[in-house]
Amino acid sequence: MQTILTFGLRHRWITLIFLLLVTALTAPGLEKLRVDTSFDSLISDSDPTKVTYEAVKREFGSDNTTIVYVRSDDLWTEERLLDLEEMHYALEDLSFVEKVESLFNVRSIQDRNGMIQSSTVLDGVPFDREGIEEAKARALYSPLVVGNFISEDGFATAINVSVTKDPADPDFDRHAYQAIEAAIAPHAGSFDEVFQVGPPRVNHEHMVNLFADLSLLVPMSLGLLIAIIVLFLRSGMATVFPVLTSTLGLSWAFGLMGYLGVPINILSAMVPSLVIVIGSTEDTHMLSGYLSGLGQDGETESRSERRRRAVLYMMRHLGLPLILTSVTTVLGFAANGFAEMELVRDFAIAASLAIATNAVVTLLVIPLMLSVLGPLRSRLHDPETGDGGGEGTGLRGPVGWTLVAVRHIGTYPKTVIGVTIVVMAVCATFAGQTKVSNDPISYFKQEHPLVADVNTLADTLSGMEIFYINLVSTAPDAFGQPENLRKLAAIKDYIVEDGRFDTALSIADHLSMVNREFHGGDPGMMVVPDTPDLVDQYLLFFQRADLESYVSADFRRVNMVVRHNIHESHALKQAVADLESRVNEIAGPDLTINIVGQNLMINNAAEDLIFAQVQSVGLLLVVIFIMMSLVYTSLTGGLLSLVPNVIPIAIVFGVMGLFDIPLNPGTATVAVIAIGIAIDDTIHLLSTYAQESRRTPDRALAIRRTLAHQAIPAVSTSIALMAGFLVLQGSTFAIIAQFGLLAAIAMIAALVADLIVTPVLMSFVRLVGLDEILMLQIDPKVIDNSPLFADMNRYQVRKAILLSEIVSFKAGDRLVQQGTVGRDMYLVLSGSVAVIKDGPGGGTELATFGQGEVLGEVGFVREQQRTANVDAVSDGEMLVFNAETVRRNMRLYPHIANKLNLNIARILGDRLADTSTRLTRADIS
Amino acid sequence: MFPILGRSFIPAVALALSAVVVLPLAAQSQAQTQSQNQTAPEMSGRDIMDEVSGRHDRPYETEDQAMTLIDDRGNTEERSLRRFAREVEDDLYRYLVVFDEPAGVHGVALLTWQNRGASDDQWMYLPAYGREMKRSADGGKRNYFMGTDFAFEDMTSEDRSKFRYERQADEMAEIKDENGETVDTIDSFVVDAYPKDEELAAETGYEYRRLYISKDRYFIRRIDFYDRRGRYLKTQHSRDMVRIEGETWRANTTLMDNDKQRHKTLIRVEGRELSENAVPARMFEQRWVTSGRYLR
Repeated sequence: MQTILTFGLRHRWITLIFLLLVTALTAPGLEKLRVDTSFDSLISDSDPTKVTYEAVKREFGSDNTTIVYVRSDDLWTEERLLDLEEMHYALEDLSFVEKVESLFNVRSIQDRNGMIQSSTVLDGVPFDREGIEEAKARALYSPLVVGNFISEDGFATAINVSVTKDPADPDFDRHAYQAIEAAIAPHAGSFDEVFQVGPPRVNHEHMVNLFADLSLLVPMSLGLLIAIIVLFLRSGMATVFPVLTSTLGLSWAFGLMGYLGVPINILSAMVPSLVIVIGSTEDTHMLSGYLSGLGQDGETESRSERRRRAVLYMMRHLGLPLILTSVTTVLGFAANGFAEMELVRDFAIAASLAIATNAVVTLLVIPLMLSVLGPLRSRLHDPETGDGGGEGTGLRGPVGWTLVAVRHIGTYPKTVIGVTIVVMAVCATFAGQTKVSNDPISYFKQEHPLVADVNTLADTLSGMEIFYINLVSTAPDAFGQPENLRKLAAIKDYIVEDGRFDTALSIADHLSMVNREFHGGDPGMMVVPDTPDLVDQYLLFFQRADLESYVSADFRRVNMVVRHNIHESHALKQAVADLESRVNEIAGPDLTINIVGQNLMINNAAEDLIFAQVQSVGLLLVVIFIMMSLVYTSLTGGLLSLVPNVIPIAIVFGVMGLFDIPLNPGTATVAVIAIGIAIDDTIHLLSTYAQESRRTPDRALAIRRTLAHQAIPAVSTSIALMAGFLVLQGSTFAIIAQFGLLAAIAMIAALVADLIVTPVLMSFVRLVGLDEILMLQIDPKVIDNSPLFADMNRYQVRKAILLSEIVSFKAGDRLVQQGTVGRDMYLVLSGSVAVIKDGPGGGTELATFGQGEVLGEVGFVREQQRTANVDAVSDGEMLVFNAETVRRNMRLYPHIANKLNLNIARILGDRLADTSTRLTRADIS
Repeated sequence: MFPILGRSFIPAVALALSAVVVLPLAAQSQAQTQSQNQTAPEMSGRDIMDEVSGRHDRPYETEDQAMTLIDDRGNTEERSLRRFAREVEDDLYRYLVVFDEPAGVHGVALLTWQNRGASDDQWMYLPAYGREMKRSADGGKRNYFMGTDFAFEDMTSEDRSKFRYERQADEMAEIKDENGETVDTIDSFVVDAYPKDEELAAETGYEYRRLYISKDRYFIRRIDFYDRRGRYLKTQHSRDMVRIEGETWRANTTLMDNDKQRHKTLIRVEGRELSENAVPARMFEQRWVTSGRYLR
């Protein structure tokens, strides 16, 4: 492992060439990088209505409809109407336009003093005032027109433009938006208000704001990062590394994405900011390690040697945690790669790729650069207060103060645990109220012009969102029959009465309108005609083009077009579910019902978001648990490492529930990312704790030293990350701002968990690392010869040994005092000790114990007073087994415990036999 | 039910057939005379149109039509209907159209009176609605006729004095069928017809029509329609020519290919009569329809 980790240090030229080569190879990929803001990426691949939707769309036309909203106080003047007509025809001329509907071609059938007038609402621009007034009256009279093409006050009108997507153009929507904009621009100035809303505009706004975000957020993240690093590490040099590594890492990652065809989308737009903040935590850890390494070395060596030694120290201490944290962070992002939604999948790929390349770059570049340019003096470590083991923190500045506070809180472990449990419970309660949202309009902040336009349209006409209620019959000419048409009318009645949707139009409305007009405009006759013949005869008033959005040529299938302005997923889901059950009731068993629309599929994908979220979080926690359990050969260690990760997630969901922040494609990724980042500090913390635990049997001291080591990187990176995420507040997208806020909260929660909760929990557990086990040097002869380890294999022996503490002694030290109560058992590793029994005439040496021998086993087995003193005869070391510690830790290892107990029993038995023999001999003699 | 048509139909067809068989030589010689007397390049647009009218306009006419509506997905709808026309004054006609099939629209009738210097009068009869005829409000000239691709103005005679005919360079005009295949290429005069009457210009749906008139028979074989803004809208193709009598020809198949609506209407004439008896004046009164005598 160290060979790999120090490669960059040992082969500096090869590393440099490798770095340059990869950069040169990936750079051309940047040219190929695509931006995807299409709605398709928001739809789940496995949506069950997708096939039906495509079929309905083919038959009844695209629901990719842009609505051009036009408002003018002078709308009904010849000049304005001429402009409007120009706009209509300019839009019709666009190649991708399937259909344009406006006052100029929507049909009006009206009774005029007993005469039937069938025409379009505006059959060209009238030549005189009278004609214009007539047209206006016509528009405001038709139930098919009001709310769809004319506002109730008559001053706002709409031109609906349905477009057919060019499958060969990945940027279709944006091009469509621009073409529509260009078509309306020459006339827009004549009106008080003109704008377009619809999927092309939404996509375009996504794209534009995405680039605005990138150009604003990336420099902001960088600036903040540099400021924070300077503040905490007090090294100007240190700012170069994160900038360099993240630039290189990002260029590799985006280059690869270009080659792989993975596009940037609104979520992956935050990848650069993420990489800068996350990647820089590694850099900060490493620099901090390097600076510590400097402090340990003497001042006498040459500069390059001091740097080399500091880099080696850094890699020795940080190499493994660095790889672990990179792997978990990458996994954290990659876990979303299984999402059903392309948007989330592409983000997962982009983020994990970028973090991975950043890690590789970091591992190669930082040692290389530090070994050449590394600073030679640390301004962080205070030589006066030592290594942090004592009462002082060994640290200056804000981190030092934080550490003092943390240590103070740590002295109330029960309070810490109690408060944690209460906070967790409260968060869990609120988390249950979290709502799901996947609405492209809700991605934008409320004050965004698009949101304002969408609401203006909905307030004056009808909502922009469209879906279809599709009814299918197997009977020929089913919808030429009044009874089936009446079902359509009943569905419309429900929709109007329900009020949640804005408008609904079907063939029943067209026929009812003709019926009304044939009865002198009597509102009571706005009903479906009575007989099938009358239906057929009324239909002669329509062109096929008037009806093709509403009924199939064979009249077996009909389509009701519903418009609405619901942009909250749960509300829409509920409204559609209610509608569906009512439609099924009305339609009866003979008709098949499909309620479909792009808008609904995007909404449905919200569910997949939750699923993807739960799946990723679960997967990640399992991976962390398994990995950490293996590393520390302890399930407890595995569980312990989960704590600082679960706490931030619980808090994030609690905050979402409490402040009504929805689970959307942005916020859905927070939990996974929070884990990916929080595990970073946790791994560093636990690995340092394990190292410290090998140095001292005193857990409190080990924890104090661990905190002293980890406080700088933990506090500085957490605050850097928090600040970095808060930068995302500047985004034009609500979902990214929400993501930023929640991720910042998660970072602080993780810091508190790592610095306060984890140490408290650590104080109950003894952690040792597998690598440390292997590195532990104990004379193999001791193990082979000691009766304590008889019949145990190497692993069991080591496991047992690691539950003990190594204690060194010097000749003359009293190790056990006769008459005291002690529950420790000793295994002599080196040197020798003598058992001396105090008596009235001074001490009597009973026995001498050397390497591999065991003593104190009676007290270990049963609490009682020591019957003799144990004094060190020479300098040496021994393992101290505390009965209680062994008992507690051995619960998880019953096999080892059995063997150990058996061996202790044997030792006791031997000693008993020995004593008996001696007694017998004494009797005999 | 409709004895006059029943009686006169067969003779009419026989006449038409005999005309085809007996008269081609005469027609040919007359055509030659025409082109010798006044060579084509010297004829104005109006001259050509007068020649067209002179040869082919007839005061009395009935047709049995099979109509097929074809949408852009190939869905079709079949109808059968009868069309009656009678000239009441110079170039002023009355029309009656009666639907026979499908069953749902059986008996639907549309009566149109052309008026001099005023809009047409039009009444509609929907048997399922009731016995009264509904009068159409004016201004319907450019409306499509009963879901077809023909506007009302495409189906009535035109007052040549209200148009300006601009002759264009001659062309070989392609005549296409409903599948888009070229079935005929006709050596044609090309005349653009613009409304010059202000009132007409306000009513018509077209800025102009480009007429392709076969040089041999002075028959309008193709019309390209350009909407009020001068944009191409649709084309009417006429084929299956039959000589009715003398120099009078009819197309037995007419296709209106509506490019804008991506829809086609195909009319096949299955029977035709040109005698006055076939279209008595009383036929064009509302009473004729409301009394049910129009049904056969």
